[in-house]
Amino acid sequence: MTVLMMFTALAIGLAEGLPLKKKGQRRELVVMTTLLAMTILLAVGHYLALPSPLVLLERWLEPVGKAIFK
Amino acid sequence: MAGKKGDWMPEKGIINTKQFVWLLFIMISAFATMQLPGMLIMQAGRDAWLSILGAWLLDVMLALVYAYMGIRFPGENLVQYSITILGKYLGRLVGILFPLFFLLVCTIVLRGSAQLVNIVFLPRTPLNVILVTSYLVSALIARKGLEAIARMTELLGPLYLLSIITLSFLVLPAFHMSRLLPQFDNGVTPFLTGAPLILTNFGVCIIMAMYIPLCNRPENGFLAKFSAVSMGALVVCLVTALSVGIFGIEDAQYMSSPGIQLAKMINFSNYIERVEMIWLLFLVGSTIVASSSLIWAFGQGIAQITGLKTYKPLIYPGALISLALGILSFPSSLQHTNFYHYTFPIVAAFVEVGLELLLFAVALILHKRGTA
Repeated sequence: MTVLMMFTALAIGLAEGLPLKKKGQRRELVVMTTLLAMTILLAVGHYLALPSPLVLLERWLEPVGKAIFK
Repeated sequence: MAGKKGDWMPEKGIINTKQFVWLLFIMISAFATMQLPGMLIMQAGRDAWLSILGAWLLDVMLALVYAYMGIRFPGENLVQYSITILGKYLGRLVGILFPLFFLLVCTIVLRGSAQLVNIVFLPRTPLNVILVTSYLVSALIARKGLEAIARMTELLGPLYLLSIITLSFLVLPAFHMSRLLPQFDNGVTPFLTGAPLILTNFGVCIIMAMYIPLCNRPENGFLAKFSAVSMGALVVCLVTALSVGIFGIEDAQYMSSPGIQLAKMINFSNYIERVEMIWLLFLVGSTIVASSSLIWAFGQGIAQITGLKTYKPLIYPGALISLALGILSFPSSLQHTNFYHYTFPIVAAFVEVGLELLLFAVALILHKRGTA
């Protein structure tokens, strides 16, 4: 899954990034690359058995939710 | 960045009030008719349908705040007026929470929809294949812009509403009113805790604050939200009340999608049967269009926070992050359901009610107004 995510991120980066580079839209390129890098980080984190942001959120907030809801 | 705030809008499309209503309706119904009725019945028992009425009332009151903010800051969406109200740095910090919330909602909606398709429709297909396909379609629609999404909802919204009403009539002979009684059997606590659970789902309509500046009549924001949430509440109320009245609370509370179970019941002398497949088509269509709208709102929000001219290059990366979160965060359906039941309402209440009311209060105290 990690490799597949990285490959997809790379493919999107090339498909979207090259036209942006040609048009000189540097800021758009930087933001898009950052988002793709976040996906790769998520995938690598999963491979290294690190918790995803949603798992962390669940660890903090689930006790509150369980206190309110059945 | 242009001089006037309203000019700084990566999306150039315009929607009308009717499209605005259907966009919000699809958002509510897609989100609230899958697993929610079951969860709500578990929470509020026979009082579930009353909780929906309570949530509807609270949501209409919240809609007043969203609509007022849309008029107080003309031409600005909630990300933009966060910056106007709280300043460049704190405003961006608060403003980025909205697009991130839209991405979280998208993750939950599409994962829930994919699980449903996997269970009912395609049991032999791996869940990830259904998820990837759903994201691909959603991202393709989102990249076409809000006008394209709005046109799709104009077609899907009425069909979905009609399908629920038809379904309700067809299963009505099996309905037993006695199963809905007595009300408040366990006091008012189930009703009072059920209402916020459903409110956090209706509250996803906070996305209306992204649509208001793109509507040809921004002053109709409240009317649009009122109509959409009333229709959405009717749909969820019908599914919930019918599920309790037909299956009883003991069975209905453990159903992954009571709506599908209702549709499965329809059988007229072997002439009309397997109607659930038609209903599922509308449901999946709605969730995909709702998700495309959420991915669009994510892209639009991030583009405004970072000052980009266009949001389009952010659509596929946004969809990929959401897909990664959907696959990597929930190894099983149970974990997704647990997250949706216990964690999501807390996050949603914070963003939909807490943050919006904070912005509203600060705008009033500091006498902040839009300049467009």
